[in-house]
Amino acid sequence: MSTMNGDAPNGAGRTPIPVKIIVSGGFGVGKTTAIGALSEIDPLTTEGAMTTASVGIDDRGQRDQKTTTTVAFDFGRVTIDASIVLYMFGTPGQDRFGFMWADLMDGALGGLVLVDTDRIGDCFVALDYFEKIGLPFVVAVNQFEGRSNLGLEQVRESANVDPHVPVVAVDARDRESMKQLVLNLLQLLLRRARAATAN
Amino acid sequence: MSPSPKEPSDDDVLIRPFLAVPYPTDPGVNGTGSHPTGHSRAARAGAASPEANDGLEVRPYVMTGGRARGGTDLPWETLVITSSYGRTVKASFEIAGILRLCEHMQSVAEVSAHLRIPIGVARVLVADLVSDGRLEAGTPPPRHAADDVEFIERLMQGVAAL
Repeated sequence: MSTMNGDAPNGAGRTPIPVKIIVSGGFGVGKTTAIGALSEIDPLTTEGAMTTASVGIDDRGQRDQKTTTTVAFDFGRVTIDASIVLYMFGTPGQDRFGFMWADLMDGALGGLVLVDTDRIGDCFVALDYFEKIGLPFVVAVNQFEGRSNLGLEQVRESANVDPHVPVVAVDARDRESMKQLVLNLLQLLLRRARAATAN
Repeated sequence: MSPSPKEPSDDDVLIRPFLAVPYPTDPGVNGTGSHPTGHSRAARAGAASPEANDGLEVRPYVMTGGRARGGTDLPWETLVITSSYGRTVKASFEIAGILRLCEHMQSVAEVSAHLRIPIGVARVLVADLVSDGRLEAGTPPPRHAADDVEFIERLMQGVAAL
């Protein structure tokens, strides 16, 4: 296959390395807000279409016996420097589209699990999934204005995550706060990578 | 959206049952086909909630001639740009739209989003255009960048400087 590198006709030199992190959590927890706070573009939405047999489930009339369902993934882009582009993909909160998650997770650096302390159980799907596939992640408690929150230690207790998993507070609307959150994840990755190298 | 069936209160902190149920043992190749629904602990907590589900009135497989997969499975973040050949050759309506968009470098996900093509279809179309030379693929997304100390350090410097 042709590539842009080398003597590309468009004059491109080395092209950026694209990497991604996954932003997950329950519905309405602020995933798209978080992505938008850091993204250089307004968050975009890509849709996955799934055709399912729906005999006896969904009456779509006489046309056929299949229905197409879509699931939306919001994402943003952050140009780190001339050589790295970071994409942030938000996963839908529901678990019935897990097959699309697997497709998306391939090659992801790590994950951010956003938590709303009023609905803490909503993040369990994401925690379970990231643990299952071995994706490093940070638990981020979104600090909504005027809401009483559980303390971070209570969230850690609830989420029941490995002691090495950082549990931090974040304001998903705030660019600096989101930068710090991504740095928390990268620090986790760095610790893991160094530990693996040392062995 | 429907309220969670179980509202945690301060007295009753909801705790995620930890490994109460073993992980499903059928992850399939590369984890594809793996699926978080096997986890009754999350289901018990009422974690799944309906999310936006706009109807998309397309028949995705018409555009790809019925194929679900192209020659290569391009990761969503793969960057592509239209080649000089792609700029001059005639193309069908959908393909021309992709080639126009990719005159500036785009990821497969951006192609999907901007042209409202489902991601799976966008991957097939882009892979085909790369293999016939109308698109050029950029540096492939690294598979193990998270294990690369130098790379992560570069990334941290970059993020800190944003």
